[in-house]
Amino acid sequence: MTKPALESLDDPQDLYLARGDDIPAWRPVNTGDVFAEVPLTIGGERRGRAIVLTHPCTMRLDGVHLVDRLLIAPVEPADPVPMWRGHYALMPLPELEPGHGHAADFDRIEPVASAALDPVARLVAMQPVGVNLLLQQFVHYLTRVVIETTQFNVACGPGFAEVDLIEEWLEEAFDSGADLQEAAVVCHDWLRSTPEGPQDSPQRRLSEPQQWAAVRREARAQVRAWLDAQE
Amino acid sequence: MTERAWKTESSRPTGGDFVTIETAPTQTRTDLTELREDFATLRDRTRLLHHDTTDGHQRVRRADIDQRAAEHGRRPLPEVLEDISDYGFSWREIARALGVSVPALRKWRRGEPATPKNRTRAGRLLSVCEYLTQNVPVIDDVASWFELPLVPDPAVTPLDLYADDREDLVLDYGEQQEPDPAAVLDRYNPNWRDRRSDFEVVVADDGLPTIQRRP
Repeated sequence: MTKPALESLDDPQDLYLARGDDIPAWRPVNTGDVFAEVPLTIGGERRGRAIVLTHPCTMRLDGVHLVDRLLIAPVEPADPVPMWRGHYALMPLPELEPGHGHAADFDRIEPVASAALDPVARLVAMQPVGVNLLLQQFVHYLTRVVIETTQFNVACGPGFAEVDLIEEWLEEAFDSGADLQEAAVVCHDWLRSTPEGPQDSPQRRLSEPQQWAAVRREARAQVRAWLDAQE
Repeated sequence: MTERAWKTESSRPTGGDFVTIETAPTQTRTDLTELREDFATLRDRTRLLHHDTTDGHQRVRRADIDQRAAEHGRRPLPEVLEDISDYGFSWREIARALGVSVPALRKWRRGEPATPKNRTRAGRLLSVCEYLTQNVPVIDDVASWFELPLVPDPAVTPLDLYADDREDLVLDYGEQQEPDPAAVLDRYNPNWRDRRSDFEVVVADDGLPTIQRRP
């Protein structure tokens, strides 16, 4: 019997999109985000680090607001190097802090109130390749089925594109000194607008990779027009 | 043209049995030999011509992009990055294409200095986008083109090729110098077929993507 083809990364830096203060507070919560000060109960009530496991497509009620509870796994210090092989209850998180490795423990997953995840306490946001690896590891843990990360990338691609778009919209607003909450509402309303019919919303168009670039250009034009109107 | 004597034999030879006849098969065989040699020569010349024209085209293309990149290298980096972004790339994809982190890219956009190497890479990416947009009419949205897989499975995109420093493959594929996407992938990774999946992504009844085993 051959060993499962679970994937890994040679360079741990490739896992992470940004860390700590380099993560904009307005970046939407996403799968693979690691938070500090998360209220945990399994193994005793305490506050600790945790990684979001809920799938990008199911973590929002209406495509905008987070569901009440997200599934998380606690994250604790560990030597992640040997964990890419044979330790299928763990997701290695090498260099989570520079010089220090950690791992997420799937044996102690639990739901957490999404309101308890403080964007200010976000330690890392993951690159899509990191999210794909996390999902592969987690699905294998749950089902003993190995699905290539490329398939997760295709399935989650629209979600990744939407998170990037929202982050960039709010970054433009932040740079212009606009109210971020108001900018977020305008962004979400625009994503769900249907000028040409129910199938025409930018959010629906993001389900098609060939539309991503066009939707991004339109989003930039929209936010800049809105910002100009605020002045 | 050689004449050959044909002899026929029978159990009862006649006077006309021993006859010398000019034969058509000999003439045809010689013509075919000459034609074969002519075409072999033509094929060799065509192969050399293809090699020379391909090499020449690539040199001219490289010179064109080098010149554009040099011009962009003299511009403020935030402007160059904004021009790339205007094509419709996300900042995350631009960072990936340039081989840098998103936070580093954000700092450059705000005016912090970048190394000459990174400035050059940014100018070159913009130049490649310009080159494809201006010289390949079928690519009417270059950012979208960069994001579309060459084949459905595995979903390798021109952006993946570019991020792996295979600008040559991106340009050959874009200009249809290498029209067969499988041939492009063979040059990128001869083992790419090993990455084909038993699974596929489909749209479920709730309208969201779902991964399932291929039928």
